[in-house]
Amino acid sequence: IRQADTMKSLRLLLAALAVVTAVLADHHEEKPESHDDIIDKLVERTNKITSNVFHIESLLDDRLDEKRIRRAGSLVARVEALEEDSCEDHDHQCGGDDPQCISELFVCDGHKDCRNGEDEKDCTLPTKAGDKFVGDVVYDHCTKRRPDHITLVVESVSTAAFFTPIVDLHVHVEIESETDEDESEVSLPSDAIYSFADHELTVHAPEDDGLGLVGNFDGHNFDRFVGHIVHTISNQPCAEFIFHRK
Amino acid sequence: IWLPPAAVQQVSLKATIIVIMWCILLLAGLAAAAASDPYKEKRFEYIVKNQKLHLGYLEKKLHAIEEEFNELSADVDRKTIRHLKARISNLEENHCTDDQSECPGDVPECVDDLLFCDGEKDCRDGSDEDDDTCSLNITHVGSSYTGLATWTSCEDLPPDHAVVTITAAHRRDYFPSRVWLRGTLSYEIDEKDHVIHTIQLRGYYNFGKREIALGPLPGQKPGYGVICDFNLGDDDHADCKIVVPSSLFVCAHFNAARY
Repeated sequence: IRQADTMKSLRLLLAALAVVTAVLADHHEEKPESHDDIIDKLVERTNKITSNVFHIESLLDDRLDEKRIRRAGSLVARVEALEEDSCEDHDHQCGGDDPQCISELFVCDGHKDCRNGEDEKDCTLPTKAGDKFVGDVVYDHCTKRRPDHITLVVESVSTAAFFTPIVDLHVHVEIESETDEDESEVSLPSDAIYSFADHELTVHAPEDDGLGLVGNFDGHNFDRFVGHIVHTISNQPCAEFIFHRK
Repeated sequence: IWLPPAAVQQVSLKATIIVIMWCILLLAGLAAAAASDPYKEKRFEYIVKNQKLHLGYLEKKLHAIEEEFNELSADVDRKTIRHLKARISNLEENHCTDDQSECPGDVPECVDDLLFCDGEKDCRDGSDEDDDTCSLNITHVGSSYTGLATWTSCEDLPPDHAVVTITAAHRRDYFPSRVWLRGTLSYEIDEKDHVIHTIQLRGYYNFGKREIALGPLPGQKPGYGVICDFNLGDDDHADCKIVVPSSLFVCAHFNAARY
């Protein structure tokens, strides 16, 4: 009898185990997996939306790309250079949809003189202390050494607090030249001014030959300017260099 | 009460089995209860539903933004910009002499035409030997350029189509800076009967100026010549002139496109 009892209990035990496994199996196969599936689908959908958002964001960024705007601005500046000047000699064009001429001396002086405020908008100095520009020769009919390159190094910058349209600079003009006889390297110190109105850098003649350098930024690309060597008295250009920021 | 050791063992075994059985049943019950907790399930469904709604809202909003973006004017294609740039630089001052051309790079040096695409870098940045500069695309045999020719002298013809076609091209190994060409110029002289005048020409392509210059064949009576300047920023558009070969006097003018 005891053995039969034991067998009965064993059978009961087996039945219980079967129930447990069935319940557990049930538990594992359907409910949590379906939960996981639902969550996975939600995550997938979220990722898709995120990637779409990033896509449209990049499309927007493409349109707002500062480099593109600068390049377009440089092109506009080239056309404006071809057009007849819309303002008198020492005036500045406010531009935009609302053309207006103001005196060059009012540009970046801290007061809004243009109706559209353009004269106070863009007053960051492109030639900061320590900046270095290297110019490649386009043509040269007058310099003493006829160099292939000229390096312009900005040593220091000072702005008079009471008169900000023009910035005083101290620069070095470095020239490496090679002739049949010798190689020479010079670094000529000179004073210069930068005028915000026409984005023009004027380097006074560093030597006694009366040759100065006038550099014109196009107003949009401040990493490149066209530099003309001029006779400071007649203002006649006699050499041209294209300068790039290094 | 005395029981034999075997019986004690059997009793304790049975008791153990029963205890274990009850434990397992209890566990099973708990597991089942946990799995089918109706409140937990409801809460899960509620969260999922909310998240779905939220995602749907985001999708709708994103779609609206996309639509708004697509309504804005499309980007200008690169070709238009290239043409614009070329037209600007055609208007800009160029201090080169007649025999020289500007280097196409950023520094507009002047270099003699004869030194373009000769295998030696003559521009300081080497742009006179660039693939773009020395592309033979323009002078491919079979290239045809056509436009509406407006005669200002020489012929009393109404504006009509003129076609310049390259029929042969040859570049000499020892003088690669020119491509020697043969071609034809055809222009319609009677619009109704479609009488077309075709003259055989020969000449060359100048890499520096990006210019095709064609004149009459030797021994033929001098009719007309053609000069086409590919100065519009690509290899497919040119500013062409029909000229008197000797004086280069301009008889007609046409804006040509490759076809």
